[in-house]
Amino acid sequence: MNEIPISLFIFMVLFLLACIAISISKLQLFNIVAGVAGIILSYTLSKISINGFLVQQFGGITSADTIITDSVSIYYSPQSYIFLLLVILTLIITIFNILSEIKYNLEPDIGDFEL
Amino acid sequence: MTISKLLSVFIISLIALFFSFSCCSAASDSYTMNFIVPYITIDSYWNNQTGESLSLSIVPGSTVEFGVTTSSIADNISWYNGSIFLENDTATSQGNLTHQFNSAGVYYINVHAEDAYDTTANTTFTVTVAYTCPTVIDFNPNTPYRTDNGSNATFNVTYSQIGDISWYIDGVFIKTDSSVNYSSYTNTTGIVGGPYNVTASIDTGVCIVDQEWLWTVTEPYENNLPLSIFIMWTCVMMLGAFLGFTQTGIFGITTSLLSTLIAFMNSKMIINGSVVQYFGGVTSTDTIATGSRSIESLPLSYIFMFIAIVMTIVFLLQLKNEIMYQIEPDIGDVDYE
Repeated sequence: MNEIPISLFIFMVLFLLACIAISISKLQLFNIVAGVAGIILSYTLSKISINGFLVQQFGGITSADTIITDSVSIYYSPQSYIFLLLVILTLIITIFNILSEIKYNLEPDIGDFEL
Repeated sequence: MTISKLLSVFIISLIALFFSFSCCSAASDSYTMNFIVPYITIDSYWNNQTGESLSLSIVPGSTVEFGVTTSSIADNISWYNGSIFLENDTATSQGNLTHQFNSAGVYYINVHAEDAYDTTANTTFTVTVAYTCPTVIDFNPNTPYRTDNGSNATFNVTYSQIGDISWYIDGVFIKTDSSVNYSSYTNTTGIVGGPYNVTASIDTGVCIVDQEWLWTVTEPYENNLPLSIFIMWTCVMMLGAFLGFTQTGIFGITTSLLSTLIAFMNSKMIINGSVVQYFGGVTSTDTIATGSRSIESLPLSYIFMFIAIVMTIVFLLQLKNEIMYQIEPDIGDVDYE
């Protein structure tokens, strides 16, 4: 079963935010990698928000001292749209970063001080 | 002398000419004789499908349309089941036979075509009739299947053979469609619970083949956001608002926009019942029972709405500054000269 507990979901969101922060920073090649990771993660979280994979899990002990579990799927479409927006934003940032990197490799002296 | 020589040559020529004519006229008779070479060919097809094999396998009760075309007009096109005459087509280049096979076995449908010159052509269809079990060609929806409480649930199935298709839910008979290979069932009275075992079962008299679905009916899943995720979004919104105020450029624009959207989303979900606190526990029958309670707060919604408005203003200001900077990058630079 594809079940993603809420705790893991929250961790993935925090990881996504870290990826976006790195992609916006000035870490050159590393921000491209983080940007691509951010796109994939945002898209994944967008799907998870509406396909029923995100679950709230429950557990308990029966009278026979065995553990039983159950889960309730979480659906929230506005959250999916937020993640889709992040996909678009991260995509734009990543393309911008790639173009900057290409431009820098073609003309490394841009921005250098002329002494 | 000369005249006698010429005369003798003339006579010899006449004799030679005579023999040559007699020779050639005899040969001419033999070459101009018209030999009519009888020739008729036959092309076969069945069920109006060309290019198919002449061997076919069917189930009892099936009807097959056979067809042949001849290369020229045939006086007779005769159809036989083995050696048993079935029917005859006359003065045609196309023959057809429709035949139903009711019993299992191997049948040889022989076709004999004959033209006006008594030239013949033959072909044979080999028909194997055997009892086989039907297979599921198509079914809808996929299993497991979930529907919202109050919604209709429609199931349908298509088998490879005709038979009586019966429907059951958890073994309880619902209905039967007779002599069909497609059947559909719509449930309008599903109650929350499950998974229910929905079964479509075809009975061909020889085989019974089932198609099963696991069907669950739940309350609508719209807008159920656990409190923990709501708190997470609130934290993300606060972080975004902080960065939107303190950062500039694309970083400031992005974070303020994100913060605006989350604040607006939180404002809505805190009053429309989306935020829920889940509860669960073990029942006396050792099953898990779950429940939820909506968390609604109008004052909190106003706070989030206020944050959304503030962050919208921040976002617009950040956007304006960035546009101005892109148009005139030197604005604000100190000129030391």
